Amino acid sequence: MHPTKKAGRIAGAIYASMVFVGPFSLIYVPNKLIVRGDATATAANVLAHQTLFGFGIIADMAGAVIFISLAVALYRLLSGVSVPWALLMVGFVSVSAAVGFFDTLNNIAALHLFRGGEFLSVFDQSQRDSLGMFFLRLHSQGIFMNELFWGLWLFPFGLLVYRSGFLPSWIGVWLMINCFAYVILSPIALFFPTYYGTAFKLAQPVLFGEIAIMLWLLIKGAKVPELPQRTVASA
Amino acid sequence: MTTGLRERIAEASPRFKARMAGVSYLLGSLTSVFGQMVVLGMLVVPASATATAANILSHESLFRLGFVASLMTVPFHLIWAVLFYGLFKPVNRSVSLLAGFVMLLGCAMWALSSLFHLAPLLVLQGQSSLSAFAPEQLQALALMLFKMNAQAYDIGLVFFGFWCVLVGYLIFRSTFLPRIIGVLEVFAGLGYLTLLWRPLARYLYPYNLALAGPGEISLMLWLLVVGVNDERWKEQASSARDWRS
Repeated sequence: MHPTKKAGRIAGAIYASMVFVGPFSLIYVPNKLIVRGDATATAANVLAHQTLFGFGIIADMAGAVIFISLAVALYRLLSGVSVPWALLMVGFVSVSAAVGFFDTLNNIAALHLFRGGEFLSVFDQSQRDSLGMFFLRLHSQGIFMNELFWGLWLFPFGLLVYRSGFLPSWIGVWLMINCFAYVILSPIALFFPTYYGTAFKLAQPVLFGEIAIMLWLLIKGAKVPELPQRTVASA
Repeated sequence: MTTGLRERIAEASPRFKARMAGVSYLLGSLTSVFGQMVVLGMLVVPASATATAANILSHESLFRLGFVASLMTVPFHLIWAVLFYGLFKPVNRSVSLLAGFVMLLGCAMWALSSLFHLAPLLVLQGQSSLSAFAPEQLQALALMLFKMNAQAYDIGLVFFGFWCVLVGYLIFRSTFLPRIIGVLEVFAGLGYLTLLWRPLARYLYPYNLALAGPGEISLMLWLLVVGVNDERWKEQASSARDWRS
C-alpha cells in the first residue's frame, strides 16, 4: 500500500475508535446518572453505579488520548501540504485534550464529595450532595467550553484537506464550515442553554462533516495516483 | 515533486507572516487584557464577596463578554506561537521549538483558568441545586473561584514570560529585527517571571508588569508596521540550511 494511503487509513481508524468512547461518556453515563436539579437523587445514582461513573471518567481520558493520537496521525498525513497549518491543527487539539483531561478532575471531585470521607463530615449530607452536583455541572460546562476547540481545529484540518490534492476538496470545505458550527454552539450552550437543542439540530448536517472525512479516510484512504496531475493543474 | 508542492505553498513572504503574527499578537493581548484585567477589575471586589456577587449578577452580559474574551485569547496566542516558530526557525530551530511548546503550556493553563472564570456564575445562579448553602457561603465560594482563576492565569503568564525571554534571545540573534527589541522583550519576560514567587511579585507590583510594556508594544508595533526585512530573513534562512546540510 502507498505510504500516504496507509497514513490515511491509520488516521481513519483512530478517528473511528472515538465512536467507542465519545457517546458513552458524553451521553450514556450522564443520562443514566444525572438528575437535573436534584442533587440528592444524582448522588444516590452515582453511589449506586460507581463502576459506571468510573468508566465514564476513564472514557473521557481515553478520548483525550485518542484525540492527540489522531492529531499526530493527521500531522503525518498532511504536514506535506503546509507545516504551519498542520502545526496550528495540532496546537488546537493539544489544548483541547488538556482541557478534557483537566475536566475529568471535576467528576472525580464530585465522586469524593458524594462518598464523603471522614474529613468531609464537617459538611451536612445535603451540602456535600449539592457541592458534588456543582462539580458535575462544572464538568459539563467544561465540555461545552471545549466545544470551541473541537471546532477550531477543524479549520486548519479542512484547509489542509482542501489543498491536499489527495483528499476530496468538498469534504475540506465541509470541515471548515463544521468549524464555525461548533464555535457558535459553544457560547450558545454556555449562555443560552434553552436554545441549545434547537441550534444543535440545525447544525446537525454541518456536523456530519467529521463523519464524512472519518469514513473517507477509513474506506478510501487517500487518492494517491492523482497527485501529479493535480499538482500541475493547480500551478 | 512533493517538496516542490510544499515550497510553493509555503511561499507566503516572511513579511506577510510577520504582519499576521503582529495582528494575532494584538488581538491576543487585547482580549487577554480586556477579559482578565478590565472586566474582572471592574466587577471583582477582592475584599467583599457580597459586593462581587452583586456586581456580577447586575452586569451579567459584561461578565460573559469578559469570559469569551479571555477564552478567545487562547486561539490567538496559538496562532502567533505557530507563526513565530516559522519566523525564528532560521535563527535557532531548537530554541524556536522550545518557545512554541512553552506557549502551548501557557495556552493550556489559560484555557483551564477560563473554567474557573465561568464557575462563579454557576455558583451564584444555581440556587436550586445549591440550596443547602447560605447565600453568604455561595458568595464566598464564588470569590474563591475568581481567586483560583487569577492564580491559574498568573501561572499561564509565567509560561508566557519564559516565552518572551526565549523570543527576546531569538530576536537578538536574528538579523532581520532590531536587537534593541530583543533586549526589551527579555526584560518583559523577566517581569512576568516574577509571578513565580508571589511575595516578590506583590512587592514589585505594578513595576514588574509595567516592564512588559516597552518590549511587548515595540515588538507588536514593529511587526504590524514594518514586518521583517525580507532579504535578510531569506539570507539567514539559506545560511541556516547550508549550515545544516
